[in-house]
Amino acid sequence: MIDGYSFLQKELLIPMVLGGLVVLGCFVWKEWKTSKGNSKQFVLNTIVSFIAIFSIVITFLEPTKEVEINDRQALLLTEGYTENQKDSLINLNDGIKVLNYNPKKSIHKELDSLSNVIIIGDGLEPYNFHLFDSVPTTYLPNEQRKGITRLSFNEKLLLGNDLSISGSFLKPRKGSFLIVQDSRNNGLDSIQFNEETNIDFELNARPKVSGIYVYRLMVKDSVGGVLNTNPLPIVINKKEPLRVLILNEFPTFETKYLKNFLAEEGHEVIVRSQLTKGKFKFEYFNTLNVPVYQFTDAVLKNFDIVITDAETYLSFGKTMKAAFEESISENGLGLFIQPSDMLFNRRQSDSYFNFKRDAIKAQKLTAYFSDVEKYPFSFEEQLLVEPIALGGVTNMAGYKQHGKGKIATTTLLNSYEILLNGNNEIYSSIWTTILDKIAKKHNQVFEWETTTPLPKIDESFKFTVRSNIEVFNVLGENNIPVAIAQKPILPNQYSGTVYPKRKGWNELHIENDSTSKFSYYVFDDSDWSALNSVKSIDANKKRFSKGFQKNRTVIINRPISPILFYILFLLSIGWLWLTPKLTQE
Amino acid sequence: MESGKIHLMKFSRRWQLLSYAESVLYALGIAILIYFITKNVLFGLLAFVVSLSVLLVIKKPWKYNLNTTSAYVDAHIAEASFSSGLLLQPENSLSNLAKLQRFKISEVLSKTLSTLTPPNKIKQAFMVMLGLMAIGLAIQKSELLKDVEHVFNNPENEQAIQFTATDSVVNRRIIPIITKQEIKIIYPSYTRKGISNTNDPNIGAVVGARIQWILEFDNEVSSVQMEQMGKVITLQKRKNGYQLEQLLSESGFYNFKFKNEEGVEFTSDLFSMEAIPDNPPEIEILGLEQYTYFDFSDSKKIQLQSSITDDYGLNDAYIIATVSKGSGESVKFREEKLNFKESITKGQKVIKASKKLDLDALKMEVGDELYFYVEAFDEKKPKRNVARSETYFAVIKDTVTEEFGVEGTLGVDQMPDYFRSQRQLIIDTEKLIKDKPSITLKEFKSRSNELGFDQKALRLKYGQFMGDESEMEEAPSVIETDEVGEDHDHTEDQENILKEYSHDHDGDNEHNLVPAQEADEEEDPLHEYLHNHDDPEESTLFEETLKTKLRKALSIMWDAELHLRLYEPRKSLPFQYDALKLIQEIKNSARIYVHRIGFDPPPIKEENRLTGSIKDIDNYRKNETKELDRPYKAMEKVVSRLEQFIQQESDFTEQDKVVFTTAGSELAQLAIDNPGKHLQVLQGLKEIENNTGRIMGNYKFVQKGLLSALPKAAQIPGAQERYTDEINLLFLKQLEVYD
Repeated sequence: MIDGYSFLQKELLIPMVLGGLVVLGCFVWKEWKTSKGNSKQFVLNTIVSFIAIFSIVITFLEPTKEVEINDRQALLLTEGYTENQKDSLINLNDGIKVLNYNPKKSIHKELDSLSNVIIIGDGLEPYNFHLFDSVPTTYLPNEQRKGITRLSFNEKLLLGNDLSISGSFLKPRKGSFLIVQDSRNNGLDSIQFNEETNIDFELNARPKVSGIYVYRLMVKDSVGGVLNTNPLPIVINKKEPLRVLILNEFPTFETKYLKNFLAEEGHEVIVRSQLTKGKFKFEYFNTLNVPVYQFTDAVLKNFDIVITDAETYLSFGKTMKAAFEESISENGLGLFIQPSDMLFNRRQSDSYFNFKRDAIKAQKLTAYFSDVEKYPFSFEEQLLVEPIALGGVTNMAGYKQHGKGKIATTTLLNSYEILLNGNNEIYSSIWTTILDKIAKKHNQVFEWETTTPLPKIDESFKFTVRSNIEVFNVLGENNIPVAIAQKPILPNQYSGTVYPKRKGWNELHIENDSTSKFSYYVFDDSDWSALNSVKSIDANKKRFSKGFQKNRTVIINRPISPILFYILFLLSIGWLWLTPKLTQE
Repeated sequence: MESGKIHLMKFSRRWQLLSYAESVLYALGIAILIYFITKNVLFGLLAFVVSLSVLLVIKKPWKYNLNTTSAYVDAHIAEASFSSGLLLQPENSLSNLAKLQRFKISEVLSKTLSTLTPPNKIKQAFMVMLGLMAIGLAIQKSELLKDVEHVFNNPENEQAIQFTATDSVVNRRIIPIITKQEIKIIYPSYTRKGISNTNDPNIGAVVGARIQWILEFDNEVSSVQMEQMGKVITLQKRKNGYQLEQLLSESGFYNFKFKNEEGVEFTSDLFSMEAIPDNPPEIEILGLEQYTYFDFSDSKKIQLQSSITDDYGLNDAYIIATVSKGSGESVKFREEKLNFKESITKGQKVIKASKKLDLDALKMEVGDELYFYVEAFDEKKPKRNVARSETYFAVIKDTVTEEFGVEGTLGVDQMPDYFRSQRQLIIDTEKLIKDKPSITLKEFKSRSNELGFDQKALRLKYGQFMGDESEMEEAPSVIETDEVGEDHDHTEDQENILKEYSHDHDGDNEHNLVPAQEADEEEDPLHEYLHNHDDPEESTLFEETLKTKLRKALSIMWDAELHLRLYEPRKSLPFQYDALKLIQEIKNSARIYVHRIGFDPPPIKEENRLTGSIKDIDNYRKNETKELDRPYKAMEKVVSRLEQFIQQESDFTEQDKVVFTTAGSELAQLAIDNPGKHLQVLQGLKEIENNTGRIMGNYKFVQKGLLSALPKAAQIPGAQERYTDEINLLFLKQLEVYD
């Protein structure tokens, strides 16, 4: 094609040219016949007929010419736009083209001829941003919608732990309730909103059973009418029993109650307490009779936690201690040292921890409004020592990371008294917190993670898998393999994308491994609308933050008017009609 | 009477009869129709009675009396020429002409009336009856209203055991129906209730009763079973039915299951079986104080009256009396079983029994104590229920106590001082009073004051037993009256002052007795529930009565001290005696504890003692497997399984059946205590298990019910899985370098 020109009916070009040639041939033959040797007239008529046929062909092919323009604006309406804003923008910008945005439909074509786009509403889906790379775009953000605009909850939790949901609610209706409900609408926790501002909330609930459930966060008005409800998909797993070794220089009440607590919950517990020189009392709970005398790596490997009193542990010889430390750092064994004055008065190199005397003998557990006894010491800040929060108090227990494992102790004194006072819940909460923190973590082969917070049907769902295994296949729904890409810098990390086809729970799993499942919940389009809109607005603001931009110049093909060719055709065909009549005379 | 009037009366009676017959026919028709519809004679009869009475009220056949009859006759027999009314009037009240006419009419009517029939619609009634019968028959043939019949034929509908097929496809087939359902409750013989029959499958009976079910079916059925809290019991086949007998030992739920000829399984609803425990007898001892004290000179007799009741009948009741003699380490006990005056008839539900306890007859001496209680048994088998009353005490007071001789060779005086010196104080006070004329005023005052101090020391020592703190010492300041001369002038004032500190012994409330104290104590509503160590009143060193006694003794000692400090030993003396008496009582009561904490130490091997050898000591080993205390394991499993059904990820499989059955019995335990809340859920669970209710609505309902029935999940530590990344480990190792 000649530069700058082209035809709209490109596909008709060849048939039209061929047809034109045939017709031209006919004309030439006819002129040859009628001219009877009048070569001058023959040539003239041949040229005229060529012009006639050429112009009729051109008329049908609709020729266009490229022109540069820079004033074609468009207004892109995305979800949640306001009519007012739309009308005033149309008023301001004459001839602005109004486009409707549908994330599932491409608008690529329309964009090509635009020199400038204004987006109003909640904005584009992030995966469509790339379409606007070359178009100067202005985003006029919407106001934030009423409802939950920030949310975080632990979608994966262990049975016995609390599900905690926190977030912000923008302008709730006065007197309305926010309620967290289990999968069958049994209310678990709620708050009432007493003012119509932006309110931060926190709800807690402890699930009763393990499994995969869809809890609900519901907004009800003061008389119980449902205003809004959103799903909270959670996966609740069970904890496995621990294998615990308790070593004591002499039997203590502390150990007695701790061991009963553990044994009654089904953990495997071995208690070795010294009776006299070289004589021990062994107690086995839920496990076999295997006396423990030596503490070699092979023996310690069988335990998740070793609980020992300071007297026993601190009087170990160098090799024995080294064996323990080896086991802790390489196998992830958890060591808990039951405190005594001996521990607090040792140097840090012996006892792992630094303490300072604080002369406080009782501590209020803020979460339970209850007092507990403690040693008059507190932890000093150390690089690798992390506090363990017990009932809302952070300076009473701490652990030190040692390789894979952890060493912990507490300044809590006579914790069994809590139990004897009837506060079973506080006791189990304290020891659950401490032991969960330090217990050996059993190796998980695959770790799954997603970067898509609210997966939706037919939208991309991005996930990453981490594993030390080198070759494995990820399967999606109906066992269809999913392609995964290994990260170049982190060879253990793989990422992939799927497009879920089904609402509700979907699953990814590893081929030939039924244990490594990853369940994710695909939301309905209407779920979490306020949250979605906030996220979308933020992302769009960030993406189109440059403000008003200069219009770009776009080249478009403007059609050439066919009238000229039509007139040419009429004139030439008229000539061809007229000449025989003139020559006859 | 003339024949005319007789005929008129006959006519009238005929009319009435026909009218009655008409009503009866209509009513019969309606009754037969109702019978055909309901297939129940009772309903037919009821309909007959109701419709008959309604019709009678409408038609009022009794209104056809002689007057209406004569009016009718006049209207229909021309010969009567409107004169039949004359027949009704007394003859002598008529004129002659009327008499003549009357006679004429009488003649005419005797001939004509027999031909006249009273107006009736008897034919119409008969036709209607036939019509209704025909309709009834048609209905019966066409079985148009089968359901109605079904409902009406089961007046005890909710009591009859209904079955549904476990496979819903065959639901339309004929369901075998129970034709006879008999439930016999055979009470244990001792209850004397015999056997009771019931139709209600929800049974409540005393523990130990045998329950017999007899079920007869209209069609051939096989493998009739009862499911009861997870157990499956097969019913025995009898001549024309199935029978099962079961001992009722605990509450629960049950349902029946059977198969018809085609092998389709049917199951019934859940029914409850409540085991009502046989309560132990209740003993009430009437009008006796828990502690009774006798002086040696009293007539030492106790009238014991008791009322014993039991729900099914008593077997035996008697008194257990224990006499304790001596004190300290030489205390001895003698136990005796005493029968009541009245002989106990077995099987009586209420017994009023009495006994006169003669302490002398029990060979009790001064200082001895008698403890007694009533024991009663009921007739429950195999093991009788036992009930015991509270223990009552009777004491013969011994004010003269032998002092424990302290030998000079023994370095330790084991008897505490403060159990003895009140007597010493009395002796000293008496001596002071005796000495008063011979000593100077100053010395008198000084000695009196010293005695007051001793009394205070004694009081404080006793106070220790009450848990009093030593701060108590500071509390009262000594009231000093320096000048004797002022004594007289201040008598009145003193009395006023004394009122503040002393107790009014002449008043009703001597020694500041219990009611006043109680009133104080009631101020704090929490008082009963606290275990407050700070309050001396709450010290638990002694039992309640002892404590009040000691408290009383202390306040009396306080008075005694007061008067000594005021140099009035004579006034103080009565208080001292009171205090002494109380202390003696307290001392004797304390002996009871010897009996309770008796301990026999194992014999000491003298040859091993203090050698320090651990040669024979071995390691001690103990192995224990604790049952994990999680009573709702299956229910938890069912909840997560139901979630999968609801999300339509899975269907009910055969393996689920076991879990659902277990969960059913777990929930049944809860339902026994709270049937209103859990029974429907349990029913729904059963329906899922036996495939009569595997629908979404039921899944959701059952899951909701189970979730609310489950207790809060406990916080327990446990092992977790965690992915460990090599890079993280490298990072941690690097961190340690800087530690």
